[in-house]
Amino acid sequence: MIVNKKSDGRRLSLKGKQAAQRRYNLTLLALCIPGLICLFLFNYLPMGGIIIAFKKYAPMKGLFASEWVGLKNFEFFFTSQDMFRTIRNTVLYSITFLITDLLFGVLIAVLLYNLRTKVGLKVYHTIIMIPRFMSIIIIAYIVYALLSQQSGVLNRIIVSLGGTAIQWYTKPAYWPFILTIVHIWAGLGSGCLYYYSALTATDPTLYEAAEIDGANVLQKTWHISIPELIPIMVMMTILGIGGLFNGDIGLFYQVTRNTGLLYSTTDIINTYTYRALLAGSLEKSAAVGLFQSVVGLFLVVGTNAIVRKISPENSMF
Amino acid sequence: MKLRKRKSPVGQILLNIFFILVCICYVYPMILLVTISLEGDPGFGFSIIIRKFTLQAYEQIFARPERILQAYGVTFFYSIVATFGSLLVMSMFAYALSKRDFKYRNIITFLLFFTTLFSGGIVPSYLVNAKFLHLNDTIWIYIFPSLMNAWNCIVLRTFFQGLPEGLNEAARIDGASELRICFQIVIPLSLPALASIGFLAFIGHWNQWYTTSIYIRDINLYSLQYLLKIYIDGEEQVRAMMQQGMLNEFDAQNQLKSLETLRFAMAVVAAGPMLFVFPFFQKYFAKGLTLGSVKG
Repeated sequence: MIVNKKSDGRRLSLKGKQAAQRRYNLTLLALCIPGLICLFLFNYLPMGGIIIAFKKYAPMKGLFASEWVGLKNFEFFFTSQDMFRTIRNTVLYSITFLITDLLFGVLIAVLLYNLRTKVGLKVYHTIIMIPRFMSIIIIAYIVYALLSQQSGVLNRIIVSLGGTAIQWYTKPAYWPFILTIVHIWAGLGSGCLYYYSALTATDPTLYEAAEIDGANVLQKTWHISIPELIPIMVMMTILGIGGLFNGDIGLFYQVTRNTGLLYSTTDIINTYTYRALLAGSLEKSAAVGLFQSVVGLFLVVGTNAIVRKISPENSMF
Repeated sequence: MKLRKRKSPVGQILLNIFFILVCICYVYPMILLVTISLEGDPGFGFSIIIRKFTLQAYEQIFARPERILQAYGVTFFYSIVATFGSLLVMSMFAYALSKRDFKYRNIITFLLFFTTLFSGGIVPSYLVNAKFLHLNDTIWIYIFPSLMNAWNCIVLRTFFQGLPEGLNEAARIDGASELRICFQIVIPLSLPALASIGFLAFIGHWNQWYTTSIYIRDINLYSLQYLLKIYIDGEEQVRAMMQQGMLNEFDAQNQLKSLETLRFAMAVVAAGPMLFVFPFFQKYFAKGLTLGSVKG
């Protein structure tokens, strides 16, 4: 009797445990449901909508009844001049921004770190962060205030020095520099944060030891600070390479005021697909977008595979 | 103390001069925005020196403030709802994923992570949102598609995993259910992280123009920044009218100039409040940005 009861109790508790386990899993699953619905509707369902890139879309018939046209929508892009131009611009700007972000981020972080006054540090950084709170539209207004042909500050300076006013918004050659400067200006405050917070996490005894050995500021920076930052610099570069085929549409569309004359140096894949969508050529826009997504996927997976080989702890997956 | 003294003050002075110069590059454009909007005689061009002070542009804006107030209201509403909604949805999601013994953890994590690698692009999203879900020209287009953000979810999950395990254990022994642990222990303990992520998200919503430009035709649902963008485009309309001979050159030039002042006044009205609020939240903001660098 006693033995029976015991084994009975054990079986019951086992069953109870299983039920509790199931309830536990179901509760957690229930917590995921709103998020899963969002992922399904706004991330996975659109992936199915990619078929529009292979169709001639007729709104009246709907997506599924529309006629298949194979790769015709891709042909349009790949045989046009636009392809070379947009891909070149996208990749070159990404590489430029990658390098400037790295250089200026590290530079400002190291300089902020060497500031002795807490108040100065706070004030300077708060001011450098301002653009992060402004929309790209406001930034476009500022750029316009500087570059406007008749009233712009820059042209007024040029004229007062005896030069002739430059029509900035019609000269594509200037824009790679203008956009790079705007990008650096707007991103400096948040860009240096990663490096700065890594520096503040550095073991202070390293610096103290170096000071006792008579190292000066430059030596300390070069031999202690910079090596501390290398892992983050590697991470940022990897993320950047993954995003090589992607650009910030606000910068390239709003700051250039979508000026057709400037497209040769300012049109990137994102602005191209955006304009095509607004113009109503959905299929072409979708084809270019799909091309962009696929290349982007390969870039991320590829760089990650390389990183996993070199330093597994830095790989994303 | 001895070591500190060896620091050369010259270096610090140079450093401070450098940062002051950098800061001028940031403060000057802000002042410029304001002075252009206050300039009554735009003939001289843009400058931070006001030649003829006038509040005319602001009077013009506030004489008929309906449009801009409407845009403020819409933008504020959807920014708040979308921010809090997404924080709720994402914390629940991240809480479940933070449990290592959750049976469906791997598959759901994969579903989440895959969205960071590949996306359908803007057109398929447009088809789903506008043609299938009919969210276009409704305020929901600002809210629903942005509820889930994979990166923020991963950051939150990592944060939850870093909370002391003992808390969960103690609550469970006291008989608290998973739901209770999630909402009454883990989420309240994570408020700093949630505030940081939420503040970043709020800024993103507040400053967006892209969604409006694609999905919204109803002027009553314009976001603030999009309204501002429309004002930039106003100039092209005047130029077009001039070219079509509806305005003579003199009138057109005048109109363009007063329009210019008006537009910069609009920019100040649209950007101002955020610039006043932001120094107070800067701390959270900096935290939010670096939270993202914690690896999941």
